[in-house]
Amino acid sequence: MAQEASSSTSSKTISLKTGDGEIFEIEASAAKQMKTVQRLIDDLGDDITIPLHNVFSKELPKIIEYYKKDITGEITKDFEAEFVKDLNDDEVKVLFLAANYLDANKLFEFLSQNIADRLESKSVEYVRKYFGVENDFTPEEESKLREERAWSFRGIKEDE
Amino acid sequence: MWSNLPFDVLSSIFSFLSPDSLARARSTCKNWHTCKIFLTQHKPHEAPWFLALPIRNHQKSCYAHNPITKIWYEISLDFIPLQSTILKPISPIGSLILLKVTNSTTLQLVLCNPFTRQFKYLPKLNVSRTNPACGIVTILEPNDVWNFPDFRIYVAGGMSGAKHSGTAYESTVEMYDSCVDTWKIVGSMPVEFSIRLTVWTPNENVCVKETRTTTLYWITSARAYSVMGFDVGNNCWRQFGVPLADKLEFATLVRWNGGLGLVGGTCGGSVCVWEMSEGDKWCLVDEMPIELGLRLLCGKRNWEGVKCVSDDDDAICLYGELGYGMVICRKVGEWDWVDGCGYIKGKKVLNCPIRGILVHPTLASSSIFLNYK
Repeated sequence: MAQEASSSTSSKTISLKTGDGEIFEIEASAAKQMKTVQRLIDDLGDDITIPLHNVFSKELPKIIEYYKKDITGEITKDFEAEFVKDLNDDEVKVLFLAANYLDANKLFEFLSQNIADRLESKSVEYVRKYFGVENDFTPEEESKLREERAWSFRGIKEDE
Repeated sequence: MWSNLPFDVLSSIFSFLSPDSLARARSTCKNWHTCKIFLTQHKPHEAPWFLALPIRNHQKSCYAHNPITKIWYEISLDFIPLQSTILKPISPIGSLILLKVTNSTTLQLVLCNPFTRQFKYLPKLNVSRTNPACGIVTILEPNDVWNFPDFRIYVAGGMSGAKHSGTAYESTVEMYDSCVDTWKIVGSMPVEFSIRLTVWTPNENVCVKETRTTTLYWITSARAYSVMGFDVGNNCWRQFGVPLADKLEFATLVRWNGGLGLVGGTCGGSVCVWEMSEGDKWCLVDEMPIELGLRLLCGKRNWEGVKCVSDDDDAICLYGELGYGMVICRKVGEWDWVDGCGYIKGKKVLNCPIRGILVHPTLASSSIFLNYK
């Protein structure tokens, strides 16, 4: 088979099937960016529909959209800002977990930064709620912590 | 699923948090507080924090400015058993700060991290001396962590108590190696240089590494200003002039564009930046916009109260007193105003003269503080 010199006309697409049974197409070059998918392709071949049990039809299109832009080198700050603009916290979390599962490094880093941005300047209690962690410090331990990080208090009631 | 994310996944999010937000995130629960991988952060690409140490203040604190949120923090220095007003910042070393004790008759250096409340006195020199020049060379190998590099401190000149003739200007150069935590005498210097450095040097230094040489530079504050350079590898000293040497009202050496720069202001003029090039020649490369200069002067008629600091990433910061505001330049032509520290958590902060330093904070513990105290 002749090798195409130009990468922009790669016509090979891969079929991905979400955990809720929907099928999406993605360019082979985009699939390469998701190491989990690539590993499945290596094991199962690229003519088979690749099952992604932990990714669902709500988030996969968004991920595909990101990598479509990535393979054409069009990811700009503006695109990234637009990409997350209307996502609420839960939607970002879901995308983040999916990117982690798919081992899609670039998207994973970008969403890590975005979640960090959402946590910047927020109180301790806010971060607890965001991640769903319980406060397991005793009052004595908490007051020792306060001493150590007293400088980072925002001085707003909810933090104290 | 979200509440029990594996730590390596979480640490990716945390690596993007600023130090204050990270401090809060770690305080949510025990597991997160003890997890050390949350503290390994990439060196932030953004601006460094400005730390202000008051020169006259009854409180044992310093003040830190977060360049992203533009919030000022008060950080207690009560973990150092010394009056904080006698601590003078010399240089950042990675994300730690090197300080000098100003009321000590012989040189006493302190390394500290105000964000983790850790500190360490450096050992005493072989030849004790008063008021020498200090220069720092950081040694960052490719696999080293950016926030705790190995480093060497060179101390040159100073006045020593000579046994038979009262005091004398010390001509030995000593070096502290952080890998072995000891000082050793590494060379000597011409006496004239020693005198000049001892009497006239405000202590900041700039280290410039080139392919074959590493040179420490100090500016001597006697009008006319002049620069001394010390090639640490070859133990060679040289002296050269600066532009407008006798007209500058303040002059500071800075890192600029990877090399040596000079920031200075003239009477009735603006603040200029010169870059040193081949043959110890200076050329004017940038100038602070006039309106920012006026704000910095704050009604004063000369530049004498203005000070300047820089860091290894070529950021320069010009400042006056704590409440006045600062001007930061991180790239040629980009000068930004930063509001001074007026209020913290709703409480007014008393204005006072300060000594500043630029640092990228870390919340991680350094092994350099282990086995100490």
